Amino acid sequence: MSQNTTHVGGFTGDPAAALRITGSGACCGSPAQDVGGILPPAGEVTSADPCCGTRPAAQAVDSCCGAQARTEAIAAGQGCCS
Amino acid sequence: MTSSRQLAELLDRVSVDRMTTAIATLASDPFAGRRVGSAGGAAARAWLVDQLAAISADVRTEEFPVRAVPQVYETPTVTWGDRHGAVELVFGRQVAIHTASADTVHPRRGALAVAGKQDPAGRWLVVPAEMSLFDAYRDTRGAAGLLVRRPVDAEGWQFTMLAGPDPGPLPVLTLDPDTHHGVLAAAAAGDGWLDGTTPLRRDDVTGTNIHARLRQPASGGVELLLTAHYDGVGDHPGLRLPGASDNATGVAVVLEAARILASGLADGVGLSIALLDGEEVGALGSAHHAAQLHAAGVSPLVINVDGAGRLDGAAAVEAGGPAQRLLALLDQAGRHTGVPLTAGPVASDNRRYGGAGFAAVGIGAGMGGYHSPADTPDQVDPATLAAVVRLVLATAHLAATAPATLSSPIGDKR
Repeated sequence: MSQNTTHVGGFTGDPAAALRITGSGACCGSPAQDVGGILPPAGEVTSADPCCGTRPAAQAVDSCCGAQARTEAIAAGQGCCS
Repeated sequence: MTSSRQLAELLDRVSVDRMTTAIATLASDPFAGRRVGSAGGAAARAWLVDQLAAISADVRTEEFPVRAVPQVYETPTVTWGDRHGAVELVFGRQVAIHTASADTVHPRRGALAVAGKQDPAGRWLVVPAEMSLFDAYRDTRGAAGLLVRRPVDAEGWQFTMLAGPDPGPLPVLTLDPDTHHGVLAAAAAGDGWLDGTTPLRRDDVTGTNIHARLRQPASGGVELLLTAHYDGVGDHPGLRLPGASDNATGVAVVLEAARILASGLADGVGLSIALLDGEEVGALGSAHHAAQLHAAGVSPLVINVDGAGRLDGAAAVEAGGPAQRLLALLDQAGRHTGVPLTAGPVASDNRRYGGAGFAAVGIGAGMGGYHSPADTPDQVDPATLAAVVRLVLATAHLAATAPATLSSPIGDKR
């Protein structure tokens, strides 16, 4: 008799990982990821392409809506996401 | 009757036909894609209120202001050409209007140039794929407008977004990858021109949430809140965006769960429904509601469904607030119903509730044709609808019956 270890339902891995989704606290939302097909097609926004401000600014504050990025975006007449 | 038997009876009451009928109705022509503040949105709301009243819910609506909703008020006309000839671009496929665009109804014609490399004056600037729109704005003095690349879905449609930046000073058009490639090559060669309009205005409108109370909680008892947004990005002139998967599916799942749970939960467990408006403009309906809940001092367990159209491997789950117990219940419900789950982004109303300090989970089980004309009812997988509503029902049942230690009352084991 063999033991069936195939995963069927429930979480793969630690359910608490759902509390640590990148971007959950950002006003621009998460970078697009191909999870469940619920976000824009891959390529529109990537983790290397911040949704506001310059790329170095966004990387420096580790947020697409960091203070420096936001300041630059507003100064350029844009909102948070571009 | 055992808890396991009670849950089996709840799951047996699921009707996929009821859900697919609801989706077909919400995605139909009279509802016009259900943009916040639109006549189609109002028609959808009236229909939904009737559905909730029919299951004896205490229904009310709640309005909130929504500023500057982008509206394409006529089909943009865009033509480009080079020495080989001219092409009129197809709206929705080859060309669309960026949400950061200025409103221009009179055609602007200009030569093509590459943004950041050539004199911008009087020209349409083609933004290379690796350059952000922000960076493209560094040198746009006197430019006619900006042309940016946008991917298309499997059926060749660009997607529409309502949430985004305030309009900038220039017209901005989005081009599909093939058109962008051709236009960029022409610009780099010093050849080519473009003539186009960007008829995009912004309207201040009123959003309206729908709230339904189905069961009152006992003092100190569990309070469940099931949510889904009913708004969509809305139709464009000559272009339907039905919003079937996003999010008629979520609404259908919540309606079906409400119908079954209204008489299927343990005594003392509270159940309310919020069908939310304004998600597509930045989750404003849930922000409004979360503030109201906070002020009222209630702490529901929030289950939000956004996208139940096509389960691809596993449903994405994102949690916020003190949701550890809710996640454990969801995990157990997933194992019981055979629905695979994975931690992943669900950028939806659940974030507003979680951000306000409520235990909240968002469930996303996929959609075809994201914000495009391809988001039609025939793209919705009935088996996915069944899986997600069963998951919600089992989670609600467990929340009402499972002790804090979460030993399984329905017989599942790790």
